[in-house]
Order: sequence, then structure tokens, then C-alpha cells
Amino acid sequence: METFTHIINGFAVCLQPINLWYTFLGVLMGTIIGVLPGIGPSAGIALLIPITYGMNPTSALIMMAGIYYGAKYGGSTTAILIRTPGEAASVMTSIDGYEMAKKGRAGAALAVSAIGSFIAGTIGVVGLTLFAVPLTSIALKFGPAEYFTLMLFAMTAVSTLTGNSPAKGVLATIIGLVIATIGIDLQSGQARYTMGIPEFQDGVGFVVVVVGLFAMAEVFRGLEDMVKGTAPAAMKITGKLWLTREEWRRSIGPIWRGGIIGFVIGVLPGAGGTIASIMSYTTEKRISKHPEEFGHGAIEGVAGPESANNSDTAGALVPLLTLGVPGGGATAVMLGAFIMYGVQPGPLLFQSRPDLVWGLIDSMYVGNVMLLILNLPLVGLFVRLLYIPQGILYPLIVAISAIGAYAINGSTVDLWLILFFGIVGYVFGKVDIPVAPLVLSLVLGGIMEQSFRQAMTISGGNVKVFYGSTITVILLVMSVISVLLPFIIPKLRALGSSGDPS
Amino acid sequence: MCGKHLLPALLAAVMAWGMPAFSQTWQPDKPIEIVVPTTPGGGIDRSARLLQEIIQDGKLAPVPVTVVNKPGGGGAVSLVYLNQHAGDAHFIAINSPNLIANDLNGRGSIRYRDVTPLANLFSEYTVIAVRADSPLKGGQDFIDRLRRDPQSLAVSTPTTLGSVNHLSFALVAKAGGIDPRKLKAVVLGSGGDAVTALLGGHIDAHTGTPSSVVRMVQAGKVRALAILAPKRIGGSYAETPTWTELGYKAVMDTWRGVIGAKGLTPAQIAWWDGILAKAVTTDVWRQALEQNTWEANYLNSAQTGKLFETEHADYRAILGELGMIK
Repeated sequence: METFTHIINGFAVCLQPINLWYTFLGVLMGTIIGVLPGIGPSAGIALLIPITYGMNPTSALIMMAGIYYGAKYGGSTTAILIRTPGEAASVMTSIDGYEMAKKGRAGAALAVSAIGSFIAGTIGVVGLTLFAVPLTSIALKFGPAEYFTLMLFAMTAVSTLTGNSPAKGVLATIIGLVIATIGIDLQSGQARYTMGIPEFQDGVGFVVVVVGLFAMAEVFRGLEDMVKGTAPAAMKITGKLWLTREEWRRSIGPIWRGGIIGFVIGVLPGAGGTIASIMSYTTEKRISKHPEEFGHGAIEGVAGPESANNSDTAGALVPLLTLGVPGGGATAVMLGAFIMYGVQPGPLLFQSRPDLVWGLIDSMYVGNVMLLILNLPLVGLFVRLLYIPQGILYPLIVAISAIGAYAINGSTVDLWLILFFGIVGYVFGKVDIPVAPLVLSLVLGGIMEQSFRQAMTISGGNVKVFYGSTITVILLVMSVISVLLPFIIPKLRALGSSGDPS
Repeated sequence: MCGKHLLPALLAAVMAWGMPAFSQTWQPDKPIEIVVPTTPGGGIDRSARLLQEIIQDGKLAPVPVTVVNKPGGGGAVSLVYLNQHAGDAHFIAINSPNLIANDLNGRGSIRYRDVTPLANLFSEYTVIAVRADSPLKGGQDFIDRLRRDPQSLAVSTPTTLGSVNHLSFALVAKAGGIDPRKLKAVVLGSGGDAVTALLGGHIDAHTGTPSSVVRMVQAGKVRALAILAPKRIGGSYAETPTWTELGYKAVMDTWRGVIGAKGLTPAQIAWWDGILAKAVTTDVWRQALEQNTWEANYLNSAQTGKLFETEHADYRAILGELGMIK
């Protein structure tokens, strides 16, 4: 009951005109930051810190949270239109979203991203409102062994991403794992495959690889077409700009499921929006009646991941607010901001500053509504990008990619890397090696290896640690089922149809 | 004769006296850049932005101040960048014991003697903490358990092996007569991940800065066993004894120093000595120290240079015991 009063009071805080204004500013900046590749919410929030010094902490944090979830709305725009994920968590969107755009359904893809983000974002905030405190204890049960089995389960999804040739899928997966090992190994403190380049000590950035593999590779393909004179006519919008009834019907399920997956993954520190969107994508492909459409413009492949990466932000605030533990880059910067304002997130925050906590959480309901109103009209504006002639569009993609990659670390090494991975992506396309498994293993590989070794160190080399808790057992069973499912389902279907008298 | 030569001689004398006086003052004439070796948001970044605010708003310098993040290579990337501006005092960087540790483990190409020490801003002393319901009631229990079996406690040492936190664990063990190579040190990514694992009971103890667990200590969820400080630090840790008090001589100072590029002139160093000494006496600074559980420990350029030398010797000794010298 007391909590309920706090929730209501939170609305009184966040609906003050000044806080509405900061919510709006935050989500607007978030959208812009999301649209620009490379510049993610962490950098955006960090840039804001010096400006907000001396501001009321509640207003400042409302604005920062606005940037955080607002960026997830904007991230899909460039992913869909120019195959350049505006934000790491939008990488899955650039697979089917771009294919949709090629088929003239860019408007629908953008619209479903915005609507999915809104619904899932709201699911996430409801989850944050109702379950923040009880969920904390579940998040704490995740130790290294649990993380390893979770990553293992996520890794089994690779089979759904491989395309026609399993061998080529395995090759892409292994290359991703190899890239994930570059850098200082935390468990031994030794540098691996850094080739004497200091920038490599922190590993090869995920966004850099993705921008190269997707955006730059697309530019190379376009160049080839232009040189050969086989370039297709500029993309056009076919049908209505908005979602068709059929598209809408197919999106509802993925949005709900994505919203729940995203929130749950978000609560676990360290997992993050990229893993949430990958898990949503593979889930949708698995349960789809027409999995062959994925990779060729399936709207579920946009609706699910875009929803998941949005509700993930609300989930990520659970450990931040209840434990003072940041789950990723953006929340780490927010933790810094909390401390700077003299607010200590942690077990005592909900009691000591209910006005701030609930003002912040409630502002996210308002912010999501604002984002929907802000983003839907932009769909009509953004699709016009497609009418830019290719001779202008490709240099534009290169410029945006380069600025984005450079903005992450201010390092020229990253510029060479996007060029390198652009060539890799182009060659992969030529020889028909899928890039999605590489992306998956690059995201999961690092955490998977580290958590495996952490668990083994803690247990003193005893593998029992991996089947010692309920969570690990459940995840292991799910992994086995996930591997076997593609073999079982066709048999079951065959059984079902042969048993059918008609 | 005498009169004829007196004037030029006097002039020469005045000029000779005046010249060094002229070169002894230095003033920045373009924006100052504070280089941060990490991504935005961490403790070092926060201290840099705080310094920026104090110097700029307090009008300590006649020029604007900007903060530039050059993360990578455990600080190596920022050092390369800093030394691209050799002799230019408009570029300063905030640094940490990584500067010394990287020198010893061979991670970076720029040695600590290749930069100019300017100041130490504050210090954070490593604390060893356990979950509130742990059977380890104090530092002595911790040592006793490790003496019976060095492998009996899994202790998190963010953020890598050979880090200050790892060295802290090794120092305490060594002071207790335990072979630091036999310890079970687990690296759990960031300090945040380690605290979550501690609360979840996945590890037995955690080494980290006082600020990494201060909220948990205040909430009674985590108990600080003892701190690797020369004396008690007060605040939420007023009850926490130092390891030295318990009879184990182990001090680990995560200092936050300011360095300049190589080849700064005495005049440039003197200017920074003046500015930084002033900055740490401001109210804004004092308030920030308290908010962040940072310990005031200002040292001027000469003292900081000495600190680097003693730290280098100390780290060499403990890293050598761990077999991590390259």
C-alpha cells in the first residue's frame, strides 16, 4: 500500500512541467543519438553530465533515462534504411529490416519498430514498477556458472542463423569466437592476439565489427553493381506507408514476447540489449510457421528484436536502482551521475528517496508515449532517405559509418577496422557465408569464455558447478532441447500428417 | 673607463637576473585538455570532469578546459596521445597505479619515467569485504582460513589479474605468510559484477575500492573485514580496522594522479603545482571527496615523483612474487 502511494506520488513528480520538459529533451536527444551510428547512449549521457551539474537530481536523471531508452527507438532507423545499425542492439534489425526496405516496406518496418518499442517499453516499465525488488534476488542467483549456461543456451540459437550450409555457419561462428578472444584476458592478465597494437588490448569493438560487416559491405556491393552497371533502381515504397492488416497481425506476438524476453535479460547485469534482441530474433524464427522468410524481410524479425532491446532498458534499471550495480555502459554512466548528485543507488534508495525513484520510473511511462508521438511522423520523413540517388547515398553511408566508428573511442584504428570488416563482409557475401552467426558468437563468446573460467576457478576445477543449481540445470535442459528441436519438429509434423486421414 | 663599462655591465646583470625570472612564469595560452584513460562515467572520468569544472568556473586558468576520453590498453592509448604533445603543458592526464603496473607487466610502450608527475589528487585504499552472513567475522578469520588452505576462499579481484585489487589480495596473503601464487583470485569483469557475485554468494570475498561496496556496507548487507590503508578512513568505514592494526603490514593506495607529457619545463610544472594545490582546497572538491568515499591525499609534483618511485619498487616486489613481471 505504501508502495502504491509512492507510485502515485512519482507521477506527481514526473508530471511537473519542468520534468515533462526534461523528459521530452531526453527522449528527443535519445532519438537523435540512436539514429547516429557509433554514438551510443553511454557517450550521450556522459556528454550531458557536466551540463546537468547543479540541476535537480530527479530532473537530470529523468533526462538521462530518456536518452537511454530513446536511443533504442532511433537505433532501428539507419538499420532498416541503410543497413547500418544506429546502436549495437539494433544489429538484428539490420538483417530483416533492410530486406523489408528493399521490398518497399521500409515504412512498415519503421512503424513496427516504433510501435513495438512503445508497447515493449511500457511492458518493461510495468515490470520495473511491479517486480523491481523481488527480481533483484533472482538476478543475484546468477553467478558465473549460471551465466555460462545462459550463454550456452543463447549460443545454440546459432543453428537458426546459419542459412543453407551448416559448415559455412560453423565457420562464421568460429571466426566470431576468434575475434572475441582479442585483447587482455581478464583471468590471466595476458594480452591475446593484440599484435602489438595498444588499441587491441581492450578487444575489437562490437559496433565497429558490425558497422563494417553490414554498412561498409553494403557499400562495396553497391559499388560493384554500379561499376558493372547492374545496379537496381532506387528503392521505392510500395503499398501503403503504414502497416497492412496482415503485417500488424504477424507483429503482435513478437512484440509481446520480445518485450518479456528483453526485460528478463535486462535484469541480468552484463547481458544487455544486444543479447536480448538476438534471443528474441531466434525465438521468433524458431516458433514461426515460415522460418524460411527470416533473413528475407520477415516483419517478425524486426518487431521482436526492436521490442526486446527497448524493454531491456527498463530491466537494466532494476540492478542499478536496487543494488547500485550497473549492468552495462549506459547504466554505469548513470551510476556515476547518481553519485555526483549525492544520491546513492542501492538497497536503501527505495526507502530514502522514493520521490526520486518513482519520479524516474513513472517518467518512463510518459517518455514512451512521447517517443511514439515523436517517432511515428518521422517515419514519413525518414523513408525519403531512400529516394537519395545511390551516388550520394553510398558516400553518405561511408561518412556516417566512419564518424560513428571514430566517435566511440576517438581512435583511427577503428577506421581501419571498419574498412577491414567491410571487405570481410563483402567477401562473405560473395561466397555465401552468413554474417549473423559471427555477430552472435562475437557478442556471446567473450562472456561465455570468461564465465566458464570464473566458474572453474571458483569450483577449483570441478565441473559439477555447471549442474549444481536449479538455474543451470534448467538452462542446460533448454540448450539440449534447442539443439534437438530442428531434428524433432519435422518428424513430429510428419507423424502428424501421416496420422491425418485426409 | 670605469664609468663607460658600468652601464652595459649593469644592464647585462639586470638582464641576466631578469631572464630566468621571465622564463620562470608560464601561462596557458590555448585551451587546456584533460586526458582520461577510461571511457566516460568511471571514477577517473568523474575526477577529471570535476577538475575541469573547478578550474573553469573558479577561473583558476585564463583559458577554457576540455576533457578528452582516450580509453584503451589499460591506459596505454592515453599515454601515447599525451606524449604526442611532449613539452606542451596544455595537455594533462589523470592516471592511476596502472601507469606503474603496466610498466612492469610490459603492457605499454611508454614508461612511467617518460611522463611528468604533477600531482596526486586523492587516494582510495583497497578494502576486503564479505557478505554480512559470512562466517568470516574479521581480518584474522580471513588469514586463518587461507593459512589452512590458500584455495579455500574464492576472492574477486577486479578488473584483471595483476590489477591493484589483485595485488592487494596478494599483499595481505603474503603478510600472513601465505604464498600469493596459491590463492584463488577470480576476475569478474567490472567491480559491479563482482559486487553482484558477492551478494549472490558466488564468491567468498571481494577486493575493491571503498566506494565499490559503500552502499552495501551502509545497508548492512556487506561487512568490510579490514582496509589496506595507513590509518582508518572514517565515514561508513570508521569501524573497519586497517590490516596494519591487525598485525599484517599491507597498504595499497589506488592513487589518482595528474601527469603531464614528457619534457615539461620547471616553469610549467610550477604553474600546475599552483593551480592543483588551489583546486583541492575548494569546497566543491571537498564535497566530492566525501560523496565518492575518496581520501584526501594531495601531493605536489615533487612528492608525486617520489610516490611513483616507491610504488614502482613495491609493485615490482609483489608482481615478482606472483610471477607477473615481464
